[in-house]
Amino acid sequence: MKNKNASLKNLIQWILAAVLAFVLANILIIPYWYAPGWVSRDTGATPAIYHAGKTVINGYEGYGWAHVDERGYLNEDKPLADEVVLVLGCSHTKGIEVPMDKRYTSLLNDKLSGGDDSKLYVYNMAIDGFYFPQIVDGFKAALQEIPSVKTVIIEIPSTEYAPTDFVGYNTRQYSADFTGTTAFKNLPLSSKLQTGIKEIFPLTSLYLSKQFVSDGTKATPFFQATAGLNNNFVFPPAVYDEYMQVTENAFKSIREAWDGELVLLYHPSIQINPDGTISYKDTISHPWFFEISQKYNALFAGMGGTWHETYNNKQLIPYGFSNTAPAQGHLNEDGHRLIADLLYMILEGGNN
Amino acid sequence: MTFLTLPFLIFFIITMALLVLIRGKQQRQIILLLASYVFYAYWDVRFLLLLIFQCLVAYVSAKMICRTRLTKGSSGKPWVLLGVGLCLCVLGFFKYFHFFTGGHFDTLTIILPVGISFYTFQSISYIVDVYRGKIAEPENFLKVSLYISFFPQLMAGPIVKARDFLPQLDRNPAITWDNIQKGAQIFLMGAIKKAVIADRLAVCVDAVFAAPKAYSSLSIWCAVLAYSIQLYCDFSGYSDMAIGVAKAMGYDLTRNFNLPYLSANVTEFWKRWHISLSSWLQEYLYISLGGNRKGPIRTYINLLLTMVLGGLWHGASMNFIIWGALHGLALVVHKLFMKWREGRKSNTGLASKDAVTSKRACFIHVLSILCTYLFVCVCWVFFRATDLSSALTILKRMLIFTDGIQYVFIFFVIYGLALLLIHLYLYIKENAQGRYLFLDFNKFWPKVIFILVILLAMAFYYPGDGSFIYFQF
Repeated sequence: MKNKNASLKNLIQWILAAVLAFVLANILIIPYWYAPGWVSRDTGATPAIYHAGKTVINGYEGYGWAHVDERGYLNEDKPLADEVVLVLGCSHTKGIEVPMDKRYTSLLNDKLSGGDDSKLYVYNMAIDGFYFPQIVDGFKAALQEIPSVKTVIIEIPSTEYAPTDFVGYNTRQYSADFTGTTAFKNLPLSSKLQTGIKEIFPLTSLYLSKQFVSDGTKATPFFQATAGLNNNFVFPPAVYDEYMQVTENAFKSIREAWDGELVLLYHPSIQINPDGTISYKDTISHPWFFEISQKYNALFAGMGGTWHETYNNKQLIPYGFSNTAPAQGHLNEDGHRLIADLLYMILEGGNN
Repeated sequence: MTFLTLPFLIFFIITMALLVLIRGKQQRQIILLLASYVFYAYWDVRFLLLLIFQCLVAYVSAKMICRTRLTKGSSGKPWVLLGVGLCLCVLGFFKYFHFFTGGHFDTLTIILPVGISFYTFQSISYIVDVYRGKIAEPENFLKVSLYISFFPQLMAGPIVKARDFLPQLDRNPAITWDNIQKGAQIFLMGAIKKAVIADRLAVCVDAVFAAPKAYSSLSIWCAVLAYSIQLYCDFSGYSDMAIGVAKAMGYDLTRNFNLPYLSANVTEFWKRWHISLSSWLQEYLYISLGGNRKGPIRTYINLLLTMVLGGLWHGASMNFIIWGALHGLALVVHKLFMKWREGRKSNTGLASKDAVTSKRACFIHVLSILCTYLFVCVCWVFFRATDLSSALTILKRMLIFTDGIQYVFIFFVIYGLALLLIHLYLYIKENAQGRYLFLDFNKFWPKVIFILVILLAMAFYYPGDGSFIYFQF
């Protein structure tokens, strides 16, 4: 009997210890990692938005924090300026690996605002895996969500897409019910609970996101979350014609929805070579993408030359952090700064 | 199947359950042997035959040595030579085929069976120990085979000596809660070293060693020091996990590392680093070569030769030979220095304690530790670099200030400082003996700490490439 009691006491102690340790671990992890819940949606520009009003903390790759605005994207809570530069892009543009004010969109905003920090001149509408094919599908909805757009910048880290990635052209519809704070309110209870648990216990979302990292060098849980997009797709020549057709359709649909200033921001990944030089890889589809951009009056801003020049002059690498490896993963502060400088030059220089 | 995988967890739980349910000595040995075979076959079933073959060679050789002694009264030397020779031939074929054929058979792919070096060494030690009369005649194949194939240490050591392990088999250790608790703690420590520290540091080390010409001197220094930590945590982490798994089943394996980077000289380093290999090399190679019995010159040659062969064991490349030779030379220099110092002491008639103040002695000791660590790190450059030219580039950049990418890996700083503090604590508190410290699970807070550490380790483990460095050897 005495032994039984002791065993029971021991078991209860272990359970209590587990609960206490779990709570403590969740508190301790917050300065390193905190991810607000995602609100998935069938309408709107992007397939998902963050839970509005929350904060993102990321020490997994680089170290950054950002605020989720009332629309569910990472921006400061400020009213929009009369004319806004809308930036659509993936996790590089979202930029949670650097502090919010060091992202290229924030730096560009500072430059364009002319000292007026009461309004937002550049609006960052980026989520993980929001690549060109998805952007094309949600392009019209994005313009409906941010009506006062002067210029649209589309970030494309690669020009290589499988024709099957283009699931639609401007088919996503804007719906006020699934935008910003209302989107979370309209979620079913089970999804609200799921989001709530992830937010109260950030450790769970960290564990879950770690499962998606198969390539350690990328060192980010987000990089793999590509909403079904095939990141490593290299198309065989047989589908090149098809590729040209779908990208042409994509540009056509963009231009049907928008005839204003359009910039394609292309920032290729780089590689550090054993001989100490760097190289960036322009894919075989790159010339076509450039050509089609010109045809549809879009400015193609390629960062490859800037990457090269900056490395040769200052040995600076635009990707990678002190907790990952140079040239791996997302844009770092140098990368963001260089992009902001180039974009500012383009926007202020009148496309020269 | 490696330790930090779900299949291993399932495998281990089943094995433990069987060991709890079945208490007979021989039945348990059969369970452990079958479990070891399953563990090995899970990696590549074809090489299970090789493992069994090695066990058979060891068993038959040992049996024949004893029989020859009894029937003919001779020492059984031919059987030692045959047994050891066969083991070495198998090892040599898999490990050095391409090296010695000069790349003439490059199209022939020869996979190195994982753990072959380790079970070959155990087979050799068994044969030689029987020959030297250190252990008795083998009773049956089961025990010999289990000694060589025991799954916790099969893949990467520690290299266990038969005289340490076989008596444990005879004792038929019971599965106790105390052993499970201790084993779990040792295992957790090893898992953290491997998955949290070593794998994370590999990110920095791999990047810099892949393109050393791109990085600044500071970055290169950081990567070299990071590699020293990575290698230590990777290998000692595996050893700890192996020791922990064995401990949970009631078996004690040899400690493989003992605060190696706090060694004050290279001789001490080799008594603290990969202890089971260095003692194996000393016992079965250095002593077999003549040890220090044939005069000082032969002693130095034997030392050098042992270390060069030790280097060659790690891999058939010039880098490993240089690495071994550097350590061999350092051991010789240290021996000469000790001899010179002894001579000086006896000439002046001063004891070392009288000759120097304690403060000065302390300063010299710390300086010696630093110098030894730096020397070891420089040698690791040859160990890690992909080729000789790359190693020389790294050394050149370490010595001559060069511009390049500035890359100080933050985890190197954090883990480096944490490990330094832990090492210093253990060094001072445990009198330079890095013994395992255990939490007392009879109290509440140690339970919380244990679970908290597991949760945080799961948060900070590195999800990239988790292969063990020493599996390739």
